[in-house]
Amino acid sequence: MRPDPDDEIEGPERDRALMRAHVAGDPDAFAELVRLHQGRLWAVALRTLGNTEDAADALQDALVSAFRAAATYRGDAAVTTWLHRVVVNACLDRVRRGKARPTVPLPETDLPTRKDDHAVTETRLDVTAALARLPEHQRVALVLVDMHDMPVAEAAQVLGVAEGTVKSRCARGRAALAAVLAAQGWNPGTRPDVAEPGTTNPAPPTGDTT
Amino acid sequence: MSPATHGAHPSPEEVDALLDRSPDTDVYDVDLEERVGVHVADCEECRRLLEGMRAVRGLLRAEGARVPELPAGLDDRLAAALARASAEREGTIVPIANGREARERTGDRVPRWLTAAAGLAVLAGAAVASSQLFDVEGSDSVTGTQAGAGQAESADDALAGLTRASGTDYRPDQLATQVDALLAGTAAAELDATAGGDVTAETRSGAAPTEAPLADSDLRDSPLADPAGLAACLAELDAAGQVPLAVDVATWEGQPAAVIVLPDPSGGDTLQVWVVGPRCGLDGDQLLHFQAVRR
Repeated sequence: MRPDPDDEIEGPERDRALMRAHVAGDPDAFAELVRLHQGRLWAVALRTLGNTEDAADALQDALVSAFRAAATYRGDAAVTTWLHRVVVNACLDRVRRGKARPTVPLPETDLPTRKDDHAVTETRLDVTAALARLPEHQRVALVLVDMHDMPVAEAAQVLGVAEGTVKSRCARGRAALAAVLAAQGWNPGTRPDVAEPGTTNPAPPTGDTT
Repeated sequence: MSPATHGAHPSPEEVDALLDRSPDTDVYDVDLEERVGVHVADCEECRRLLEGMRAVRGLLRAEGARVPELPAGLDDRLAAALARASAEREGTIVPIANGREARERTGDRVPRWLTAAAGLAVLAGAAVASSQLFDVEGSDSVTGTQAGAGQAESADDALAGLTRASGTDYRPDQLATQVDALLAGTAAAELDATAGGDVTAETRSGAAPTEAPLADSDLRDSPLADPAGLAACLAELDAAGQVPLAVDVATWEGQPAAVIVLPDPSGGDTLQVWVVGPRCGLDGDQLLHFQAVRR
């Protein structure tokens, strides 16, 4: 039975109840589950793939797959963790099969060079564009851990890897991003720039010349 | 992780470990952390790396706090996709690929030369019947069509005029009987045409057919009335090159549909009955029902 909206069940228990109802044949339970979480899942897909079209295709594929495979959900992890895993796998599958639109990769060296910052040539920072240039395994780790504030342990479940692997990917991804942004004139020594609501890019760093 | 020393730079993972260092944590090797921390404190490059990592994490967290809106229409698109999945689960719609799998599981593989030959033999009569139904020229055309039936020059020729609009509302519990009637109606037209007479509603078995008088208007908008459209439909069913025994643009449980009857690939008395959407997957998968029916 689908949980009554008037019941006090919330969060993970509500999600588990909806999954049970869906597996039992409730025709509306899964749609309710999607309604509750599609915003966050959409954000993960968009930030992983970097463009709206690929993210929409991947999210649709993922949700239909999750609908069909719901009986395989064992309840060991939270439903949201399971859903995130399905979405991330769908996104990575698109990248690996060459279905995703190509991004401009970073240079082959994984680590930033330990040199002085270059002179400022650009005024605008685009952390999203820089993120899109990371290798997908680093990008996904940062999307989950830093952008979505997911605990490392949960991110490890989503990605199906060890926690140490997630930490390593985050560390190298942060280092690589710092190098990319520094090359664009960003000075990490200043207060981190936060994009104003409604804007696409963060505000230029203080002191930068145009 | 390799132990850091004053001379060797720590790895990015070791530097990154300093981001959340706390003397209370039991996640990291505290002794290692102290050595990395001491190095970073004395190393400008590593200190800059640590600052960069910390600042990047701040940027990502800030970016992550903004939840991107779903693009217009995506909500509806996802709902439609899940509705289709739900209908599949209830058995009302089966992806055509699953229909192929079902057919293969029953061992109904189709030797195309056999099916084509069998189909052409039936088609000879069907073509005659069609000419009677849609062309009122009379026996001359019947004779001419008969003579040419065994020499269909192209796949499209073989499919021309095959499709009917019987007005039957097909249902799962009556499918076998309804298919019999559909074929009997076609067969009856063959016999009548061969004899040079008009098409009548009599059947070989004497059972009253369920067919209403044909309505050309029912076929006018159906892609299956066009040989190329029917050929595309058969290709979608993994039956390209086969000639159906009957194609009926009708309804399935009250909904617009098309019924396609294919002969038994082994020459036996089992028929393959495909019930598809009215456009037969030409606008996307839509297999409503698949059943092997014994004559």
